Amino acid sequence: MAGHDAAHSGTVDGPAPPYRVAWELAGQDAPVTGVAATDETVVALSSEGVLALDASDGTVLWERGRPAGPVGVPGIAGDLVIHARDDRVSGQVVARDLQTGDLVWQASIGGAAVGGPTISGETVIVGTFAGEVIALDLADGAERWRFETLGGVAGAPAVADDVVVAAAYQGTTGRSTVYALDLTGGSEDGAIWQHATGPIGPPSGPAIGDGVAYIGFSDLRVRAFDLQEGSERWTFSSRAEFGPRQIPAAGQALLVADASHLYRLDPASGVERWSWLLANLSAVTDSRADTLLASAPAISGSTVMLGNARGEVSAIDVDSGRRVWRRDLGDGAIGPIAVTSDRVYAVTLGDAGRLIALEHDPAGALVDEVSPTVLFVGEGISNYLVAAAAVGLAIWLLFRFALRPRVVESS
Amino acid sequence: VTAKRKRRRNRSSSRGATETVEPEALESEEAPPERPTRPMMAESPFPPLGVSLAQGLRVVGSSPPILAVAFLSLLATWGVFVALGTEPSPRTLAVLLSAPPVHVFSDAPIAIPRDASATFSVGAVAGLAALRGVTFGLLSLLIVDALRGGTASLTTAVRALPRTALVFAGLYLVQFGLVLAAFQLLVGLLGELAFLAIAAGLYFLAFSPIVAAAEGQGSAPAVRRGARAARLPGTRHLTMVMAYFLVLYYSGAVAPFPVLGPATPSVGVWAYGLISTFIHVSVLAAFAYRWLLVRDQVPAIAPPRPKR
Repeated sequence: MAGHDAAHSGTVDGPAPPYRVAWELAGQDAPVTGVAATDETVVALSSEGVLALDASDGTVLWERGRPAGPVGVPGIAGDLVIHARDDRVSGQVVARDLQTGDLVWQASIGGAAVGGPTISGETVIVGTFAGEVIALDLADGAERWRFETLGGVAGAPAVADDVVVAAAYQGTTGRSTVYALDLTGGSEDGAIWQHATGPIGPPSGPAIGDGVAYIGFSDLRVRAFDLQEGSERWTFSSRAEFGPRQIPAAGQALLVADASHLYRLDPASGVERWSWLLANLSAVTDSRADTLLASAPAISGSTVMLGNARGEVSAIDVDSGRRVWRRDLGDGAIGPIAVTSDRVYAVTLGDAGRLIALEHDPAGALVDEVSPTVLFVGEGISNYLVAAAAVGLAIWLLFRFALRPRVVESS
Repeated sequence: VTAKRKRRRNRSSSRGATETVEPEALESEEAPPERPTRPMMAESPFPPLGVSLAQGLRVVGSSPPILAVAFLSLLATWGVFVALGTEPSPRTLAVLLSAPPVHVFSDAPIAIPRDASATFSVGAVAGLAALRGVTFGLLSLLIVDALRGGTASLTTAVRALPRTALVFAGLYLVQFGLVLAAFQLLVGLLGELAFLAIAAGLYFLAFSPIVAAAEGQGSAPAVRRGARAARLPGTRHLTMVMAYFLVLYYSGAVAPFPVLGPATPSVGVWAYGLISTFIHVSVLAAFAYRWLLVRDQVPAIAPPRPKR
């Protein structure tokens, strides 16, 4: 599921870089969002289908149809695959048997769950674009409770310590509201707490770690809230806005991505440990800019992985902040990355979308790259001297042989 | 005097290196009395846009001292930005030395960042005022010197710098306050159209630093006299302001570098910033050229308004 687990730790003891391609899937079966994966099976949602693949070689185990519509990252819980479905009239959450793909149950949720389901214990939580957070029973899909939000919920809710955190965004007013809801008791008495900002752009998805909820807001701030009380612990100024697919990874380290940078923050204070410029916001195509908005950081062992809209995936050492591996996976923005114990699954979105399964490559080469956000003063000044000499000489020579300026005589 | 004859006169006068130019303002005084009386319809005392810009480019491009000071000013400003905690992006580097008061808009986010303490902001504004006072003071003195005497004397400019730098620093603070106040006001009223505050600030305050450097006047008189010069009849000042504003506004769209770049500028990024700086300083020189031509029509003390 999005963020790997209910709290969105984004953390798996996965393979270390460098990586090589184990197998890949392209064509009409290519996924349109991130995949859910176990060590044995990978579940992907293609433009009009749901398919399960053998994790070892990518063989299709089963495939089922689905109406073409927006979906989020699917989730796997035991023998069930949970995914959202939207026929543009009424949205549903669907549970399928992981081995056969047979329908186990489906529940109407009345809107598109574009963030995908979050599974916590025996409960499935979804947020809908229609403006509701809905809790369903994992066993039979029975509705436990639903809570109306101010604006649509586009990111997957996060759950920890029996608290559901969801971020809603109202496009007409630009207002973002974060809700903390009781997982077990429902929401009859209203939210445990809520925090509103605006008018700004959409927020990121939420993540929870050690009793603190983390969310990126498009007023260029990451905010940390006490999970139980809702008090603001700290804020961090980001360099760009956020999108709902961007879910912070709140594991041992806190890793947050905005549209252009990946940051490692101190979970207790919000102080930046390092940052990486991974997308420069320039135009990739007429309709797509180079951003990180389609992806979310995934931690595999001691490295964090993230892809940009140019199709490049990077692995950065969490401790040092140095890039240790990168690979261009071709056209299309990189979507959410999934990690298992021996595989990393990256998807490229769009018409030429692909699912690429990566595995550790013992013979591969690592790189050691410093973040572009680190300033080297000496190098900067020497570059200046070269440029100033060249530009100055060129201008002077140009005007040396052009007309001299006129002198103005004024009283 | 017909427009064609005037253009011919301008062209022929620009051929001589040290030839004296008759200010067009004086020519306009000879114009027939039946000319339009509305300020925007009246003939402008300023030379045409092309003539002014060409003169600005020539003054800056042919003067090694002005070029050197402009380029070093860019490096110094970059250094101050870095010291204040922000490495300028390639596009910011290209507007660091934009003509006053436009550079206030690149300075303000650095001096007054979100979450910054009042102590930091006061110190940052003071530091930037000192920097802008020295760099633009020196540049303006050199430009005025070059326009008046044909060559820019660094010795003369440095001698006059302490007083001018102080005036420029004061002027910077006035511009900082005025432009930010206008911007804040327009953000509330006009939202996305608040960038018009830049154009308005440039329109009214473009001559102020030149007046301070050329006339040795203090900040407040320079602002007043500069604003009066801006309001002289005709549309040529407005045309030049809008042309410069559009260049600034659209320069980002044609920039050869992405919105965000590495913190360490490459040779190419510096070259882009230096060429942009050359253009900005040339625009400043164009304003100086225009001021020297009309200064006699803008007395130090405002004439009393005619009674109706």
